[in-house]
Amino acid sequence: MSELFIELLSEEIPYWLQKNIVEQFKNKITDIIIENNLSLSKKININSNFTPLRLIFSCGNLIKEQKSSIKEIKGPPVNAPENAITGFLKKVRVSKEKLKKKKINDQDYYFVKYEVIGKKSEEVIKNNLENIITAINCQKSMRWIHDSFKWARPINNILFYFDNKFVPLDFLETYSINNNSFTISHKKIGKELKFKNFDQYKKSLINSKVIIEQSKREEKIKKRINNFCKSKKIFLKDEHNFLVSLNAGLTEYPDVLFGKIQKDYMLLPKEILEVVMINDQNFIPLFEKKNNLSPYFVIVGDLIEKKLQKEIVEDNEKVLEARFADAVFYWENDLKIKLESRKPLLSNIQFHQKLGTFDDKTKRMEFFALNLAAQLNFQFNTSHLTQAVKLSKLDLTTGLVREFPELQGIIGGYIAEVEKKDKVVCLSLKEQYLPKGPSDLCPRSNLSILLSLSDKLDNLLGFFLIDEMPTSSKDPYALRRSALGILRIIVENNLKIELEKIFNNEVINKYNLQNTKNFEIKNLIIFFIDRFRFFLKSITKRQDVVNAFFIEKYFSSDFLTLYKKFIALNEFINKGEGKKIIELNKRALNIVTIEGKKMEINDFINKDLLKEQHEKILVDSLDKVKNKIENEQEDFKSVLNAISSLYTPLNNFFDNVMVNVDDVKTKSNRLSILKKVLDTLKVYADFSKIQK
Amino acid sequence: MASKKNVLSFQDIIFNLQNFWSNNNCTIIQPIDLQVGAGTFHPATVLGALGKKSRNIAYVQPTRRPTDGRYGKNPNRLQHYYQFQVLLKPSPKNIQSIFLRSLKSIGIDPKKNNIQFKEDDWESPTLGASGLGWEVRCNGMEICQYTYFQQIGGIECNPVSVEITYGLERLAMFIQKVNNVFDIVWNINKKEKKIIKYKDIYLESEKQFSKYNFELANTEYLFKYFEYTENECKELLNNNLPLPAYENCIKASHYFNILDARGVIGVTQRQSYILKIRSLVKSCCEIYIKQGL
Repeated sequence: MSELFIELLSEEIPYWLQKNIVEQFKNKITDIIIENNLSLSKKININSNFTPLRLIFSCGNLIKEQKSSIKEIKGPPVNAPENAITGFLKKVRVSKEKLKKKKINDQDYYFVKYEVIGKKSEEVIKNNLENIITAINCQKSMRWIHDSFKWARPINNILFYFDNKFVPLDFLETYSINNNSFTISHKKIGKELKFKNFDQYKKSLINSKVIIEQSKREEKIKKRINNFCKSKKIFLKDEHNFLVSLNAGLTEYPDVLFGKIQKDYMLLPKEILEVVMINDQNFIPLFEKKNNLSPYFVIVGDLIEKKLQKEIVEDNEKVLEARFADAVFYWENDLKIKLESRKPLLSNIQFHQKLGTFDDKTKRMEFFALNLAAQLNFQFNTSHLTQAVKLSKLDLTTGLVREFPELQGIIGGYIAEVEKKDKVVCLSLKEQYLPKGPSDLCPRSNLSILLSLSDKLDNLLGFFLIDEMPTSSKDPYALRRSALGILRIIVENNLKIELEKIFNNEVINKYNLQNTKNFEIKNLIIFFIDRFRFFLKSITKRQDVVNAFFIEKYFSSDFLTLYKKFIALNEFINKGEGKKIIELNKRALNIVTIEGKKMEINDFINKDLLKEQHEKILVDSLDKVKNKIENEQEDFKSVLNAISSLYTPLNNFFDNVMVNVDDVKTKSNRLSILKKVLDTLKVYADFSKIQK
Repeated sequence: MASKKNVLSFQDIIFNLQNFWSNNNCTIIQPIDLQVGAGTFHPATVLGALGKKSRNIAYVQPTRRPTDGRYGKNPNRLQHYYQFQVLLKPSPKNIQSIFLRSLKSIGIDPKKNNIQFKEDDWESPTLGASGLGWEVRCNGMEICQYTYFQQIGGIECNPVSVEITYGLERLAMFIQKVNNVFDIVWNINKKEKKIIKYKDIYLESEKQFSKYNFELANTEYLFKYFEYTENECKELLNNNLPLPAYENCIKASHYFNILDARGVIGVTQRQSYILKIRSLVKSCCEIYIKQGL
């Protein structure tokens, strides 16, 4: 068995891209191995690793050389016109004497047989490497020396070993990429490392302080953090694990240091401290009990000698303090102007050229919020709602939000707290942009819900009205995220809203738009349905159930009911209770499909033609079930049970009633019964799309 | 704090960088004598990065960012500061290791500090320029930008240049271990046993210019200046003189920056001003290329 081993050495590749490129590379090599039969085992297992500077691939059990094989190409029939035969000869490049004849279905055909000589595996891979590398999609890519070749970052060197031997790659010269047989150690060690195979490579890298496994670098960081946390009785939040991964992806040999925030700065709103630490510096904040921010934070360095650590921590703390000092400057300045008196400033800030200023936006939001509150029958203080809406966007005029845009809303909430506004109002200001991502919490309090929904509904309706819908690749106004947020808030808070009613003409008029003739409310609802499907798939991981449930493009806009109906189905299927339905659906579908090709099947069942007891019972049960499916709005489990209960009458029908009878009228009527079974089930879902 | 007498002074840092890059194939040129918002604006970079001719240059560029002024009260912010700019075309293969050695020449040993390359793709809307690269951090502090130019004036750069921009005040604060930009040692005059600090040269000017930028700059005039330079630029372009035309872009850009500091430019207006400058720069670049200079 032979071993393949590739290392691609580059300048620092951004963390978010590393794994993506590695996966693409790995899949492409796997394809080459499979297509060319370079492995005897069916499962190709390519071991891949990465650091910010390296992509590394190795694979053990490859064959040294492809097996030779005989290939046969079928030509024209022997009695075909001469020009067809000459054409074939030209194509396969042999002379007529070398053609073989073979009989297929009583007809002689010409055949060409030739031997395909197995190539050396290293040749096959080598010849494909250029294509693999140039075909990788780096999303954001750049040129450096070559005038058209683009990659994520400049590649310094690529080495390829096969069977313990360095294989030169001639094509690299065109791209001005080195083809050294050695690699480099950790930058701080500064050595060239020689080796013969992957094992030696790995060992020499570890000795020169490069951990090639992302998971091991993460473990190393975590272990150090955990030990430190134990000693201080503090902890790392789960939601900050991404920072551990990020830092592991930015270092080849992570060393973990701990800094401390000066007391004075701990008085600032904790979100400001967190944003500065995380977004500016990639530091990892640590927390005390009750999720209070602790003064300690984690700095991950790349191979830091013990004796230098103290100074490096101090330098990092200094940088952080300078940023905090900036924040303090803004915070104190921002508090000098009352939130309410910022209103004139807000009309200077444009939301969108066609959709007016943020002041205009808040006016529309108020309208949305009041409508929603009425539909939802929310109990709350109206003056709180109007106040919250009016204050909601004012923090966009503060220095802090200009400096830290991700803190919009939160800053407003804090200023409102300082100004002693009601607690629910302050909370709703802070929560108005939630949920920002899939792992973010949804707002819970009535006021926060109304504020967050109206902000997002205004985004969606506004941009749809001016024909700025997201395309498959572009969503500059993050409308997908807005829609998903709305759906999550509805579902998680059990809110019965008909969105279609919210997007009424009265609210559309509030946008003061001249031309909205491209706008159709249906398109907006379809956009929601699309997001809803995505959302349901991501929480259930059942694409088949989602596809079965959403047979139409367009549905009611009461997403809570849709959700309950879908979840009931999904649970039903997952618990195995769906088997009977799927089976009977299949039987009925088979007959209807086959017979439907021969004759037209009516939707109408002629009850006078019902002769047999079992067909009468089936038609009876069908009517009841259909009624139940169409009218039940809450208890969808019972609907599914009712559908299941069709199993027995349908089985009896199949066992006792002949469909294929000579009397055409009866036959047609019985087919109509089966069609009705299918149509009835389809009112809930297309069960033929469910996999098991 | 390191003993003041042994510390590498601000002017030494400049000398060392100039020597280093001079020894590494660069011609040391002088700053553009106009107010610019970044070292990149120097015509030697913007126009120099275009076309096929190779070009290796380095220079100090005084830089103005009116909105960053703080009346000399903030230890980290200035409306006038210095950048050291290097442009290498085509980008050398081993540029990163040369760059790391340049840090060593000013007393920052990459082996003894935590040097990070943080993804930072650069874009200048006014120049119609973009590139991919990193900001370089030393123990958490951003000290340099390191960019592979992809486009300037909307024109693809071919060959690609690499641009390295050192933030001289940041570097000096780090090297001299001072917490306030005004405490940077500019020069140690050994003969007279005198230390000249940054504040001795620039504190007063920070105060006065902050007042001018934020409070007194006559916006009515500035809007007019902008219009005049814009028109002049167009006129010069009509006469196929891209070099003086480009200098008028620089001027227009600076007027725009002061107007911005005065807070009199709204969001939409802002965008339209940026677009105006960008389209002028683009024309300058196109004519420059056509002339094959």
